[in-house]
Amino acid sequence: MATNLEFIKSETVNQVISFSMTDCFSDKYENYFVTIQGLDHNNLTRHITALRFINSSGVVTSANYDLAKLGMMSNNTFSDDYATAQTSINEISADGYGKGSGSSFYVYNPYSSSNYTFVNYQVSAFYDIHGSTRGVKGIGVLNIAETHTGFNIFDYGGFNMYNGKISVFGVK
Amino acid sequence: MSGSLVKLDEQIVSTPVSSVNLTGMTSDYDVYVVQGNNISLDTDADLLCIRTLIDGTQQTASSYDKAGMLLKANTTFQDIHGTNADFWYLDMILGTATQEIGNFTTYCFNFGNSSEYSFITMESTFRNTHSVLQGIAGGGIYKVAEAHNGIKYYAYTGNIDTNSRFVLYGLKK
Repeated sequence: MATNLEFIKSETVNQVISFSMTDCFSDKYENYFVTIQGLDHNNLTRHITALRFINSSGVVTSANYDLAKLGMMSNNTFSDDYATAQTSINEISADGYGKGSGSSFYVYNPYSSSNYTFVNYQVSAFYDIHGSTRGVKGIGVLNIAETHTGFNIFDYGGFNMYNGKISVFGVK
Repeated sequence: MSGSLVKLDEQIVSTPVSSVNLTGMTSDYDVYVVQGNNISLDTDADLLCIRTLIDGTQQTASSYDKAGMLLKANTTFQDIHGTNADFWYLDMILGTATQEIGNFTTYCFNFGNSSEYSFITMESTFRNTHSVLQGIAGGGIYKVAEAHNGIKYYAYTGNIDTNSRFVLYGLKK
């Protein structure tokens, strides 16, 4: 039976500060499902990873991203984090002490030249020296109506990322 | 989970309509996914509402509960909750300005089970009637033990606008 969640591509992320998942969005799908698993920072303390989109000129770094995310700590109160006019959507993934992480997100309308690109994301991370779990439920938008052919993730503090695997699926 | 999602119905609004019905829920699936993208409404500050369907008939009992968190890009978040309403809604208060559009993914559980309540999880991301990024993370229950074979999306006061897209998928067992 033909089904409608279609694997597009998978890539590994290792020993790089920034990684671009290129040519994964097309006119074949309107929405996408992305997983990031295993990403860590090789025994460094807590780190977060941010998301940007890629247009025909490269990675979009202008201050046109808005985001809101609920940070849920297993050993602390939850936090409302929100911002507008940012240069990325931060905490698309997070990790600490080389213990890995898992995150997923839906991307809506990335290839449409007439719509903004939106995301819903969720993260589960081992995050803190005290061994706490951090969960994140977040939303984001790139407030530019243009075609995006892929996305970029990068370490928010400029450190190398290790052991990650990114998979992209089209929701047909 | 690659290859586990089967499209059952798709509606792309070609002219403004008050509602969209997605049908095709059968005993072949236990869990369904509804995805909406590029959702727009033709009336400012209008809501996208949801009801269950039985053979095309919307269920209007005051038995819809929901709870969740409304995330906002410009201020602290809001607990959203309610009981005994006669519809669910995704807290997408959309406007008519440019790019005040919504996107969502809803999982539907137990819709085919006549002996249990029907449940949904809801997540959305949208620019609201003030062009502010918002999104809901939460869930809802329809507190009637009956089988439903469809789901209805409708605008509370006006119409769902052109190019809004709704797709119903079954999760293959």
